[in-house]
Amino acid sequence: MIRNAEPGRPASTPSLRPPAPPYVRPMQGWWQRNPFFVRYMVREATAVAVAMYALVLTLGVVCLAAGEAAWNGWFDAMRTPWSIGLHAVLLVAMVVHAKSWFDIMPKTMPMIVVGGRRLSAEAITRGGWAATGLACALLFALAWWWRP
Amino acid sequence: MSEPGPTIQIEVLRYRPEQEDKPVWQRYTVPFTDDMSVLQGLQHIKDELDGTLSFRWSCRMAICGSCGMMVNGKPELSCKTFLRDLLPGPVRIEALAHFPIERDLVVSVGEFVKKLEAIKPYLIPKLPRTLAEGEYLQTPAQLEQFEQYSSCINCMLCYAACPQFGLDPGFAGPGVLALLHRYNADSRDGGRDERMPILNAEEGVWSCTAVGYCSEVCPKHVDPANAVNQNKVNSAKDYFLRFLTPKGGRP
Amino acid sequence: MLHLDLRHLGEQKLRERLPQIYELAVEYLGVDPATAPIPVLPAVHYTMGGIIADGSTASTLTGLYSVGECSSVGVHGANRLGSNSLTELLVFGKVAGAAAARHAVTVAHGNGAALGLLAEAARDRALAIVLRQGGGERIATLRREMAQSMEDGCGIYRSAQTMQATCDKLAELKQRCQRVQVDDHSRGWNTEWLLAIELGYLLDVAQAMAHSALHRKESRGSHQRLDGFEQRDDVNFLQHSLAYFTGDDAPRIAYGPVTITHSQPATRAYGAAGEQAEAERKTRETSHV
Repeated sequence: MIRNAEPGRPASTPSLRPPAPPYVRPMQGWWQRNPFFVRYMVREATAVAVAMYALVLTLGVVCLAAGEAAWNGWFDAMRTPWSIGLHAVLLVAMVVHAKSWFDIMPKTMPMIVVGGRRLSAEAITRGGWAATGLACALLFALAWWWRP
Repeated sequence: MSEPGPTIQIEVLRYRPEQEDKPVWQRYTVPFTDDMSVLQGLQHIKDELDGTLSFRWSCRMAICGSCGMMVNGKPELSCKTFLRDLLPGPVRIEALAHFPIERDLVVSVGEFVKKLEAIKPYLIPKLPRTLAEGEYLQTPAQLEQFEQYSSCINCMLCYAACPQFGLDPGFAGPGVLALLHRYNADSRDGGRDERMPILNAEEGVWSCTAVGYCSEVCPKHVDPANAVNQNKVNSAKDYFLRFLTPKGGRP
Repeated sequence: MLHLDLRHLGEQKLRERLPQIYELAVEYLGVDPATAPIPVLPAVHYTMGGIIADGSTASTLTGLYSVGECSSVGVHGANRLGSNSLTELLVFGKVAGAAAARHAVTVAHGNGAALGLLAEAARDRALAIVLRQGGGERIATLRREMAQSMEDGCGIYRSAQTMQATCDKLAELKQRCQRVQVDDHSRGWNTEWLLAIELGYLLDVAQAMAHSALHRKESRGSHQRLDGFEQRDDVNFLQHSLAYFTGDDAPRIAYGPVTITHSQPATRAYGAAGEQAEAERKTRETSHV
């Protein structure tokens, strides 16, 4: 509700009364008010995806230990369309997770000086992606070498 | 008296405790020139249209830290925010977020000042030093360790940016913790032990969830998010090493 | 339009040694000092002189200590050198604090009843502003006219004519200030009320400056005249101007002695003339050894 200011002098002395206390604004819906906060909440939510995938893999390990029948059951479940759909969603979430984590990672580290110059935040983020790329490459190589 | 030339609408969230219980929006029409800051817009309102509008300001050049407020939902220094970048308007101005409003654009700063005092924001020498021993010498590398954190002008924009502070006003907050780090990181200072309890507290570094918006809005590029989050390692070290050595890890 | 050219310093040195100026130019003007000259204008930056203060920052009013820009300890003379204001604060701030504390602890209590009456009178004067309905004068109008008049008459170059016009204008503004009217009649966070009170003091200070300048028939430091008094007159005017408050009328101007310990008054020369003056000074000093 906007009150338009009158041109010239505003209303003269209102009747004075004991002043109301300092006004505290509510925090409800705080994260919806700014795109930066929305992205932050998405980042935090991707942790759920990471946890879910960890559960899926843990289940696989448990089934592996429980014997061939259990393992085949888990493996077949992984190949169903629902499972592939879920994995696609989890993969996207984990890429978002990696990106948002590497973006904030420089903030968690103390000053690193290399050759007299301070390591920039961008360099640290690129380092994170490089390590990720290397780890993925190693995993794929291993999987390829050990394929049945 | 009509004003020829371009104008811009400025909407301000008013709060006059002697008149009303809740804040209310009020709109003003302000003459616009290319070089006007939001602060100048507010000063025109106060000078010519409505003297009852109260707001803090001082230096007009982004060094005193007085004029922090929300401009179109973002924490800004009003003296460094220009109406030309906010066209066509209306421009919405509100008191700095996460602080109680005392009046119009004036927020309560008492708690922040208390937190500042609590961190002992001054050099505590490692050893007593006489004038005859001369000044402290520091290399450029030693200066770099703390220089950016000393740029803080106590404007509190980072507190308006921090949702954790908004949800828990007891949180020490980005600005205070960055200043704490500034002293710990200074080679001349020996007061680290005295400041650790504040860092280690639940409402010290551990209330921070690395949202990172504080560093985005800081007008002096202090990067408080970095100051707070690198001290989580220091705090953890302090916690675990105290079981090994009497003084928590320091020789 | 005058420009300041810092391009020869290069971006790295500018960011390292002049970071605040760099950011100001970029953020306020959109000018990058590393690649473009910066437009500059003269502006009022600092007020020399002030509340008279001795070596312990005590004024002639018992119990009043002043330090910094509002104070006149005498270290700056007629024109303060750069960075000396901050140094002055650090040095004399400590002196003032210690002196004021000593005084507070040792001074005997005054006449409470009499002081109470004075306090009530001061409060009533202030309240009169916020209670006043009507009057017709707006704070900003008076403030602008004062600033313009000071700029015109007591700016960088001065003459008897311009300074007299300013003195007359300030007298008029002081009269009009009695009828200043505020929009804000509240009691909490009423910054308009504060501005109205300060306007009165601004006019008092402006009058002290304008009348002191008019009476000083010479040029010295920041006081430069163009009306036959272009030179220094150490015989008649090597003195501090003292302005005494007389109420509604113009201040009374008197003079007090200057304490000179080390630096003698001399011409401040720039450029080639400056280098020559410096060479002459060195020759004098070495020949005295």
